Amino acid sequence: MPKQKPVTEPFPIFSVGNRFLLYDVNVVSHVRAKYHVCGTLSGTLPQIPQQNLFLGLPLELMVEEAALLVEKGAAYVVNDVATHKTSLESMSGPDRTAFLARRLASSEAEAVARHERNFQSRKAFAEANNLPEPTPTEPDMETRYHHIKTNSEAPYYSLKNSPDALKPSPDPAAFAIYTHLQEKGYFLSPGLRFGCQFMAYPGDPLRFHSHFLVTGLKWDEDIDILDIVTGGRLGTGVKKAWMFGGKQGTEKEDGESRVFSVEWGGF
Amino acid sequence: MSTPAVRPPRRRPDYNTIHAKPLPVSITPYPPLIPHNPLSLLQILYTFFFCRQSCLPSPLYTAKFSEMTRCVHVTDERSMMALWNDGFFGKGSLSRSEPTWLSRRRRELGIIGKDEALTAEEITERRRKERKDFKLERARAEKERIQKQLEEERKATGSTETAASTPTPSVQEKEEGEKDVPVSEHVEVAKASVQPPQPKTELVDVENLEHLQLTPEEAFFLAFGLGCLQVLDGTNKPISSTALFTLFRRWSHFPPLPDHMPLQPDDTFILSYVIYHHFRSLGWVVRPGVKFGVDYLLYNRGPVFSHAEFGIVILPSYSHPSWSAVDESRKKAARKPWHWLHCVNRVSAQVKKTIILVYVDVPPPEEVEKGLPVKELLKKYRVREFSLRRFVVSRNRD
Repeated sequence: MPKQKPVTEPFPIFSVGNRFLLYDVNVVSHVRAKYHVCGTLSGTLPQIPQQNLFLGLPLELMVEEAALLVEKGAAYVVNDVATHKTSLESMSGPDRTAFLARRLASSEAEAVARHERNFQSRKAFAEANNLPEPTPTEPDMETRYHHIKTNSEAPYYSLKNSPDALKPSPDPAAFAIYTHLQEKGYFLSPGLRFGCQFMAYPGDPLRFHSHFLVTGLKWDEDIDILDIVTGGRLGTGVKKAWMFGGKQGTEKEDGESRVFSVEWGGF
Repeated sequence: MSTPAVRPPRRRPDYNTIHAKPLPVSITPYPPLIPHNPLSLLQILYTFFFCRQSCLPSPLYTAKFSEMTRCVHVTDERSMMALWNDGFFGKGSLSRSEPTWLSRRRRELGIIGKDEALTAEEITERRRKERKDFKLERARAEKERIQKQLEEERKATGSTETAASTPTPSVQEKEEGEKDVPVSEHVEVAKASVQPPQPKTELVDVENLEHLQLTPEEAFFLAFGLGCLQVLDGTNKPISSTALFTLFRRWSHFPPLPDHMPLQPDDTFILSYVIYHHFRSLGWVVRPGVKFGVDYLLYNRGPVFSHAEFGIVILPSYSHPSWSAVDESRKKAARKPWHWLHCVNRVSAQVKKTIILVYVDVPPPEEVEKGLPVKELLKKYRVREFSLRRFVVSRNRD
């Protein structure tokens, strides 16, 4: 296993079309270990875009996760598209020529090496089968190509703190219960497929099944009795408890948080 | 291994005759018209003028609105029976659905036999017990089999190894002890239920303490839609359907809307009544679906014949252009989060029902002037249905 490189905080969270992405594998394991933020892997193989299993980088964060990391000062959000564009455009003339020359040199070297490998293998084949030795030829420089190495570490631009417009703005009720459970040491992951806002795991999701299906409500929000029935039935049907809760006071205040869990008895 | 005892065939009541009528009204068809037989026309005319029977029951069924339970109580035996048997209206106040408290109580007191006139609750209870007993029996047999196998293995190796045989008896004892627990429990349970309750010294027949509860929608459908029910007020005078409509609308709020407050066109009662009436008139048996987290359940013929096929979720829709200007908060309240839909859908998939989202187009308040007759008012509402099903890739292959 490659050794994990230390991550300097604050690190950038890249925002693409209202999604919050992490590209760097070091950052991904760092936030998981330190902040209990798991996110969802969302990258597919380039040729199989319909892949839905064994996904890879980038890691997509829930808006609540991004907000939590920003609130704790561990991260800042950058607009990925704009940053990429500006940093490309800001490349000066000499830099650009140097880059192109570097790329050309590396692709030529690659072509020569390839040709050489090819020749050696033909030679070995001829020797083994008592054939006349092949004559060496010149490498074909016209069909050379450049191999771009993919990397699981993001190239860091010199990025500064995010402008306020990019601040993740989660639903206050959902965020309140998210932070409350985070403080209690739970790992939370998105719960849409179970019909709730979050699934709460007592430890790392790789080691535990989730215990709760969580829905956040405003402090004085009415609860439909049908929602309690469906929630309770749903939770019990998948051997979990359905949980709902809220936080008193406004977003910024330190109000009391209360949660309740419901189970379908089926007398 | 012992084979499970063969169950004696259970005689179900003849539901086809008991529930022959789909609604509590009776219809007498006219004699057939045969074109080349002029006498048949005379026969029709005769029936039309002299043998016309009202399709409504006489006297009409009666009920009373209870403010405490917010539902309509039917207390007399005749109405209770008729409303349940013909169209599955209401619910027994002491039963799961059909008012069966009396026969269950009689059985407890030994007035009727153990297997006489079994109610749905009792059948379910027995089935569950049977299943539990079967599982215990299966577990016991499995344990016995393992025991036997161990015994055989021990015999095979025991002749050569004598040292190994010392700890085995304790293990066996322990297993024996464990094994016995479910069996003895099982026997006890069986004994307790088999023992007939001691008949009381004098068999006084019990008084029926149960009544039938109708939801406001059911009661209004019976009173207004069919006209076979009279809802009485405190002084035993029948309430007119217009007054009943207003009463139910006021009581659909919590706390009930006081008289000086204006009624809204999207009252809970009006929305659910529109849906109720809609599906009832299409021939479905509509029953409340709180237990499955939906507003209504649709049965093809009735709950005794088959399971409900569909769950109805009522959603108000403010699509009329004049709503757009009025208020955004009302629309926001009607908008449900995405995870709510997943939740409802999963729950109904678990119980093999299809969800139908029913949108009711609410007319704007200007159109629903005060004093509009109920019939005209209901005409302004439109219903749109969307059926929704959970798609599981691996299970929906056919």
